[in-house]
Amino acid sequence: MEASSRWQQFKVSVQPTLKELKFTLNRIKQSSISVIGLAILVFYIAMALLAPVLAPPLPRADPYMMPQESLIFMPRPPSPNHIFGTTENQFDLWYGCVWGTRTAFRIGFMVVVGGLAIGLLIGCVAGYYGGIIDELMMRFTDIIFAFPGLVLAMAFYMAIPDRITIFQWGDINWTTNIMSLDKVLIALVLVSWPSYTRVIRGEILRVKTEDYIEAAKAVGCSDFRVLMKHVIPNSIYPIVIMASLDIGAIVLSAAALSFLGIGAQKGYSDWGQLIALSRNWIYGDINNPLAYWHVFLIPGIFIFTFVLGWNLLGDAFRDILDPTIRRR
Amino acid sequence: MKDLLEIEDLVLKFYTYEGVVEALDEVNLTLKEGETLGLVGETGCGKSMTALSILVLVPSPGKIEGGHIFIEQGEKRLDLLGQKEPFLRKIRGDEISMIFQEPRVYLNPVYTVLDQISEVYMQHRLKELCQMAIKEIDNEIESGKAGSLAEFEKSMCRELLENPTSPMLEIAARIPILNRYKRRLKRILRKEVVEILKNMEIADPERVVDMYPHELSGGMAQRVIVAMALACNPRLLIADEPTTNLDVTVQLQILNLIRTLKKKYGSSILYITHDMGVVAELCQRVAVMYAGSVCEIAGVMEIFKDPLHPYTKGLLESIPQPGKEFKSIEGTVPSLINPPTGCRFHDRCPYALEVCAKTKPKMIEVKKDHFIKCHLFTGDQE
Repeated sequence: MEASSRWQQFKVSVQPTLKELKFTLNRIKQSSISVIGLAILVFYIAMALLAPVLAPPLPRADPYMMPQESLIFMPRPPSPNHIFGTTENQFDLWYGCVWGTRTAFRIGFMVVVGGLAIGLLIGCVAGYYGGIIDELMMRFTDIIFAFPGLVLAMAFYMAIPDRITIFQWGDINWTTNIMSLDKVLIALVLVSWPSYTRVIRGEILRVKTEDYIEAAKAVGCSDFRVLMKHVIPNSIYPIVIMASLDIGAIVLSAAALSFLGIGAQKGYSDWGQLIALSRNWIYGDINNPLAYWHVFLIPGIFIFTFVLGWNLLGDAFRDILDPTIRRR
Repeated sequence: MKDLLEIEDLVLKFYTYEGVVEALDEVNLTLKEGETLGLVGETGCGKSMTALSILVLVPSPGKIEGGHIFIEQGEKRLDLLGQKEPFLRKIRGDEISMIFQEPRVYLNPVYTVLDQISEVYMQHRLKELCQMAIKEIDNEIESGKAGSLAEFEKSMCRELLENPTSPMLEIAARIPILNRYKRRLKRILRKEVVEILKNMEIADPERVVDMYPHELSGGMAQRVIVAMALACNPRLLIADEPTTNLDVTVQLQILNLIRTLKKKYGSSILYITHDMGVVAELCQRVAVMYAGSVCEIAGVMEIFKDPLHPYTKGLLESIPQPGKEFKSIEGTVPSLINPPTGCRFHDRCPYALEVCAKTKPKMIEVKKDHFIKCHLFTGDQE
């Protein structure tokens, strides 16, 4: 009896959450475009989760490294053994595309979360405290803004060492290697935060003057509490939406960097790298210009649909996540 | 009756690009324990700024340049203006609280009514809450209904009671099972908030408690604001035009509510308004403000029967009455960037003397409990 009453309590306590979730799903259902977006993403999430089943890695090998049959330079077309064919140096395309889904999600989420964290911190401090702090921080942001994103990301990539010493004391050395994919992640984070900073600062400037903030102060809340509990929840929606739209775009930037030769180490499952490997094969030969179509088209379709899915869903997010227009 | 609040020569200035706005110029006010004081005046005369000064929450670029705000604390009188921020935070919402003008915009749109009212409660009544939780757990243990974790929950509540900012609790609050104590607190808090809402004459408080501000009607939102202000039984309640934006019937309901609650909780009220009708209805004494200073204070009957200050006379005459021609005070409210020298009312005053343009009048008591700031009564006619 005790257990059942607790279950009742639990049911009552989750009811509002469930109701909101249902409402959100209903809103998504109402627009066919966002249903398509959601379907694409569900497909990719399933692919990322089922990667070991869809493309079983070789025993005792790093599952993220694409299997390589031989070192022959020329790609081979699709065949029963390699359903998507092989790319330059005989890396299996199907394997690369499937495991690359995980890499894509990882790049998208980590860069967005990192960028959000930095942007939120700087934007909040600058917007809420204002004055000289605001001036200094925003001018610094402007400086980062002034560089073209990809070029700056390349510069950051070059500046990050391969090995860093975390802790050094006498003979004790604690160093760690930074994988080149992580270097790309860090470089992209360092480039992506300024736009979040701008938006969150503007929102905070707006919310700061709202009357309910004054009311919160009149009730005896400290500065920190006002900022955390009253200002941020009211100003965070635009950048949450921005970030969800950005996940796709960041995967694109990472692919662009990969194409330029800055990316994961050779053989790592990453769509950008698959595109980079197809660079020599975009034009076949005079008689058959599209002889190696699978090499660039297949990873291209993967990247294209992934980004499209995020963008379609992002539009729906904009209408759904904003509590002020949510119920209209 | 003792004085609860005493404002002495309060000077408030705003440093803007256009110049220095002398928003408050030597405001003098006293508020006795248990009374309702009406603060009336035209828009922009500094009523709201006086209220915010009492909470020491003047918005920047405003600066309090002089004067004192004393509040009775047991036997002592404390000057709020010299106090540190943490102390002031304890006072705000607990001993002095405020009801605002626009109920809708003073509620945070992302929180439910429950969250908003518990915010006040958590700020000032955490200890009582913990004690209630401990008592409840004890009762459960005695009657044998307690779960296996009751002792643990109790120790958590005790920890919260003794050391509210303990990092251990911060972590525990985020771990399921360990955070049961938090859920119990929330349950008790909910009961308390429903109780408060019931006192506000809100129908169906169990439902209203989970509503967001945009789901409330204007009158309902104002009741929630009143509930927030009264959650901790403040000694002084500042009501800044709480009924201005409501229609007349709701206005009356809110006024009645404030009056009954005042009887129940015994708070003093500083009621800011420009509606003379409300003043006559609710207040015992009235302070009239003009261009940043209080020009007349008297009992409510006295003000209506025998207004002495020329501005008060003008103000009362400009209340529209059926069958009479409209009358208003000549001229316009002066800009406070370059306020008139001497008495700030002299250029609109029909009885102005020469001295009025030169020196500021002092506050004097012309009759018992009737204070006025005007050269016509001070006798300095030079």
